[in-house]
Amino acid sequence: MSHSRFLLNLNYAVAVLIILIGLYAVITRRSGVKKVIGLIIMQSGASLFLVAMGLVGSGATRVATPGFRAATLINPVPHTLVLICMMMSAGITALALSLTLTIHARNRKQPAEERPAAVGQSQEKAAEEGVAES
Amino acid sequence: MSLSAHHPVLLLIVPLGFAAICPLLGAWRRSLCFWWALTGAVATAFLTWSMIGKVTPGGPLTYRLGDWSPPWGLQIRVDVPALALACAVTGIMIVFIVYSYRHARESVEPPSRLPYYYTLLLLVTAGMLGFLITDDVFNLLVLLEVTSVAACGIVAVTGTGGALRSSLKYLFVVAALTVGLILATGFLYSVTGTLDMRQLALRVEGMASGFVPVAVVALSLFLLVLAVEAALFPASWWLPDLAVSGLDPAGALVSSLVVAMASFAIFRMLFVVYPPWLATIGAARRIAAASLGWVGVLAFVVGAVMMAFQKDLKRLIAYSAISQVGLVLLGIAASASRAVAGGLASAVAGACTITCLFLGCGVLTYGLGTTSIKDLRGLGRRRPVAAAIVTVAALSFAGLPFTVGFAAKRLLLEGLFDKGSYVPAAFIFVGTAVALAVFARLVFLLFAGGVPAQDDSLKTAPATMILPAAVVAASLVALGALSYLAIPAIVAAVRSLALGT
Repeated sequence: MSHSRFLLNLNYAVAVLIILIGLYAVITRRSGVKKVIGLIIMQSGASLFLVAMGLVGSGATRVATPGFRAATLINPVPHTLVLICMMMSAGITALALSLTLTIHARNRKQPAEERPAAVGQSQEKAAEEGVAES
Repeated sequence: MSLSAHHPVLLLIVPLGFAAICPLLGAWRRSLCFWWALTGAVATAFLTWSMIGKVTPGGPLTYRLGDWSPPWGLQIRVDVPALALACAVTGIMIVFIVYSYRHARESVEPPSRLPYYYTLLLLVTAGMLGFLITDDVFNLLVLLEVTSVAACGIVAVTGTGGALRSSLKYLFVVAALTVGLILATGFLYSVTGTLDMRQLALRVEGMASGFVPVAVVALSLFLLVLAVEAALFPASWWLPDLAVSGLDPAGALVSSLVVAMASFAIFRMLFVVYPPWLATIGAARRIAAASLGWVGVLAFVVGAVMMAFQKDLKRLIAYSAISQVGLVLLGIAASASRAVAGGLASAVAGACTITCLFLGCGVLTYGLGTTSIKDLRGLGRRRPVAAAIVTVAALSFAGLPFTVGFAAKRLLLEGLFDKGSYVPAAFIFVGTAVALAVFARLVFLLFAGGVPAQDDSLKTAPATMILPAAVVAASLVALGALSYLAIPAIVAAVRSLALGT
């Protein structure tokens, strides 16, 4: 019993694990692009969670015909939610990437000593600077 | 159906429609965008304000999208608390747009960005109004996202390094929080099978005991995420940088309206989705509300104390916003209906007051190139109107009589005294005293602080900046007088939500 219950909830556990991996990347990475990737991983985890929630029975999808039993079909609402989440995710990713690139381009134009420690600065670039300065 | 039957949904459609056309218009004639956005904001405000007589505490206006009834379709519901905030939002948006006429033209570089700035202002209006009137948890989170992301763009529009970095930071915070909100919504949906707020409350009430822990986890996740979004003190690290780095209206927007929206979402959670009359999760709700209230007390006092240590006027105002959030949430989390209504009134009063502080600060320091407090010495004698605007806003923030801040704080304190919550009430007096001292020092510096350090060639701010700021300052006093008409309705609306009638 407990074995099958563990398997039933495995997809939720994996989804939460993916969200936590993404969150780790968002918090710990200094590079803006890597933070954005972490964000995408987080949002994928959330989408996976919603999709996993919609599973009913064998997971059949089909067009409703006379005499069908709704209880055997998957729940369409979480899938609709996932669609909306994907749109939000696309918008946020686009905005975050454009901001990161603008900050990066601006930093490159300025001389190194005036440059503030930026979110959009990649680690490799920071390392290169360290070499150049020393 | 006559047009008046579609009135509630127009609040969302009109600003969205104006926003969709704004960039196209801007590609043709850039100068038209300002007038287009102003028309859109005035039309939205007219639609919102014309609802004032129609919405009563017992009879909110509802609208079913596509004529589907609630468990299947989405429903819009305009109730008294939502309408009160919506009126403030639409009025403040008009002020922002008029204020931006010269301010944005002077500060946004290159000017080809201006159409997008006005588009984003209309979008953020649509997001906030939709957010206030929706009756669906998922819509709530999507529209909160729309509001925050649009606010992010409004801050970033100046293109300065500080604005870009702080808005990127805010975007990461918002995006991570949205994942939390999606998780919480998913938890709640998985044990109830609905997203409609009122249906959720009913289904949580009739829930099998095995599912109750999931509903409790969802509640805590909602409150945690929304408290960060509302910049409640320990989680307010993102607000000051964001508020000081953009244009004046952008700073006012993020630290007054966007933050008030998140506080309102907490109200929705605690009074519509998990109302006090639920027996199944009563204990968990009480504990969650009590801890939120105490964090609010902490935020109110700490925010006020932090104000005293700021060397920059805009940063000081940002910390006053953080303090105000504490006051609002301490009210909303209270158990007495009058205190909750006081919290909501504080949200409205705070939105107007912080806006007035930001715009007044912009007018006061126009052309100065600095907002550092020590450079403002004696500036009040050179710019008496601007200094008067800041002074009125400061009085309203501290809650002195004849202002809207006083009316809200009085209602909140009455509610706390009714229930015998003397300790939070005492802390409110402490925080207020600190804020009053900080503002008194500021006003003294402005008017009596020795010889002005600036030269005589300093130009005064244009009328399109002074006038909107002065209108907000006047409205702080006018709303203080009018609040006695609105407050009984808000109290009655909160009471009926708390009792489930």
